[in-house]
Amino acid sequence: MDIVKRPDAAGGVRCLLTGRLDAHQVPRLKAELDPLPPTLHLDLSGVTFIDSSGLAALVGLYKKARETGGHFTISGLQDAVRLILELTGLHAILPIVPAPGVP
Amino acid sequence: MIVVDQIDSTTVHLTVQGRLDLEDAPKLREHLRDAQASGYAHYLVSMDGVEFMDSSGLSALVSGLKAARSAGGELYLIAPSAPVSKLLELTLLSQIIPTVPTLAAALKQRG
Amino acid sequence: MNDAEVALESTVAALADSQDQLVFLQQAVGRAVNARGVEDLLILLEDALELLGAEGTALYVNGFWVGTVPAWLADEAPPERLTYTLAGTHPDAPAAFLGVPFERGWVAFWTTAGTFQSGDGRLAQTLANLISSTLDAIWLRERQLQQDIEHHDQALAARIWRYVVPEHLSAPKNYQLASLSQPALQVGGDFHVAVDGWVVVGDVSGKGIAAALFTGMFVSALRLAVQHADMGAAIAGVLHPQLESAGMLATVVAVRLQPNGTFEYFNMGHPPILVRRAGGQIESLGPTAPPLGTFAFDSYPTERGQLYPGDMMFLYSDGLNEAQRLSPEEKLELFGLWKVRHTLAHAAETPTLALPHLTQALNGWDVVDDLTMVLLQYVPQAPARPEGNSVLELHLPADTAQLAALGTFIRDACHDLDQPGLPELAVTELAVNAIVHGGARHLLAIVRRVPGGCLVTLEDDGRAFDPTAQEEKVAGELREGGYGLLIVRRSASELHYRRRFDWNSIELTYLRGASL
Repeated sequence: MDIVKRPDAAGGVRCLLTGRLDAHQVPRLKAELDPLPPTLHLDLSGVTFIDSSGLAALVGLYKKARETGGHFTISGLQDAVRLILELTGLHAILPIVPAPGVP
Repeated sequence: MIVVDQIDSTTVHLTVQGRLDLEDAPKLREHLRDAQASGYAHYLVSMDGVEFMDSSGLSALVSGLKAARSAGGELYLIAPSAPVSKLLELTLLSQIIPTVPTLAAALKQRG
Repeated sequence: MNDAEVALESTVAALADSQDQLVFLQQAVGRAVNARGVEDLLILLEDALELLGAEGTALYVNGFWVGTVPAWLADEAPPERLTYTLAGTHPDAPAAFLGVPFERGWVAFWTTAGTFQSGDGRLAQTLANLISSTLDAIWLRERQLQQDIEHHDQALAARIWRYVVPEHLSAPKNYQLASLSQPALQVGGDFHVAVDGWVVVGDVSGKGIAAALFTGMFVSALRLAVQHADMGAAIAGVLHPQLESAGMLATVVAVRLQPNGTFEYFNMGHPPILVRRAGGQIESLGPTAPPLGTFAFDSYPTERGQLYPGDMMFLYSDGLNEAQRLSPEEKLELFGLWKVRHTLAHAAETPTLALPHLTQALNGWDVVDDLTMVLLQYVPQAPARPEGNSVLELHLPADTAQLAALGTFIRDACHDLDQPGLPELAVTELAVNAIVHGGARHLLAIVRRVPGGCLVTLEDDGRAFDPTAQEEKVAGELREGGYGLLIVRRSASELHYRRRFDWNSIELTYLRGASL
């Protein structure tokens, strides 16, 4: 999985993930996002597969952002991500937004 | 550089220093051949001072071993340096060429 | 005759002499220019005998007399300068003698009747100078010839080698391959060949034509040897006797790779084959026999192993580990096997991307021998998009690094379901559970394609774990764990568990036409 972090126009961090977000890749993602930027947007448009460990990582980021008063959003859901969100009922709960710049 | 000592009528001791490669291995081969021609059957080869050996050095040693055995004797390697031991292990020749730690041990093995 | 007439006659004789001498010298120079060896120079001296009024001549070069010389001359030491007298006393010594030294030896003339005059001395000196410079020319010409022969040999060896050693290797089924074949300036005896699932790398000692010819013999023999039950013995039978009598050695590694990842290999005194597992560990497959040309055996049993998806195998020649450089303390350093392992461990994922990592690691090092590198990666494909009914199996080590391969296998095998992502996800969840919580070491995924859909089974050798008997956690809850089982249950139409011997076996049913 490739992880590309960029500062965005508003001073936060925009992180683009490409590839698989599975049990093997999760430790790297956690390491890359520790400490958690106060404003973080995860673009998942390149994620081809996600399992429950990947999902747990997303949930963990969301919870941590809430605890520290930070701002965390996700966009770019592909089929694989939609699938797991539907199976687990989290599609209504995680902070999904339209991709920035996309109407 | 190779120094040759005659131990007795059957045994000769060669001390090899420096490199045993395409350029210098022929000298070892020649010395072993001379030893064979002169009727020696036991070749004791000290190699603690050999800093590099490649397949040409290996080839010279092996032909010396075969010459010794066909003369009813043996070739013993004495205290091979690390590069030499490494190459012998990588080629499994460590299981074929007898190795001893000292000249005295070699003489004892020879009997 | 009166004094004046005698003087005139002498002068005329001297003039005539010098004219003869000039004519002779012209001829002598011509002969010298065409001289091929010292024997030609002796002939030149013999031509001068008449002019000098001498009966005999001899030439001494670089410590040896050319041809036979009379006994009284044999032990005579080279004079320091032109002389008319012999140094030693001999009973058979001639009446007149003339000796002239030059850089590499000296010339002698003698006669039993008459004497030598200063004019003769000058001619002899001229001849000695001529001989000296001709010897230089002969020596230089021989050296040039030697170099020409060497260049010719090298060019010929290079042609033979390139003709015989293939530039590109074709990959065995289910493997990706990248390779490099880089001969040293003086082309030697490295080769690589891929035939019938066998991949072979070899190194014939020495350089030039002999090594190139042996390489040719090897490559031809290999194509026949692969048909023998004992490939190593077939090769040894053909090549060991030839190598042994030529005093040469050859090291060889040969590995036969099956489409299902199993392999067998032998290693005759060659640097170890390295296997990089998908998890990053490096294994080393060392020698199983000594080099050819040392000792040969009647049989060469192969060792066996198993590659899993993503595992990479590395075959190379000692041009790599014996690359050298001078350390800051002016000591000769070798690249070494440890660095080879280290570079491979940190190289990129695939053979095509990893090969440049390996070559770049050699920047700053002198590669003094032929360099050969072959990288092979096991990348099994499910029989391309299986159609109809079939049973497909995949064995894997229980390692999260294998999740990608497992997922691809399931997705390909179930490609014609409405949502192939469902079984892929479910099997991944079961696998992660077995790895992380069950302590499993091996996984087996089976897909049975039937008209109604797919029966997908995951078996593992971890602790007993029955997913059907677990309490399911609630959906829609913002928690970090415990979603695996939920996902598995919700994705499949049916879920069955069995414990067979020491294995968990979970079978999931996915029906065609069904969706979430």
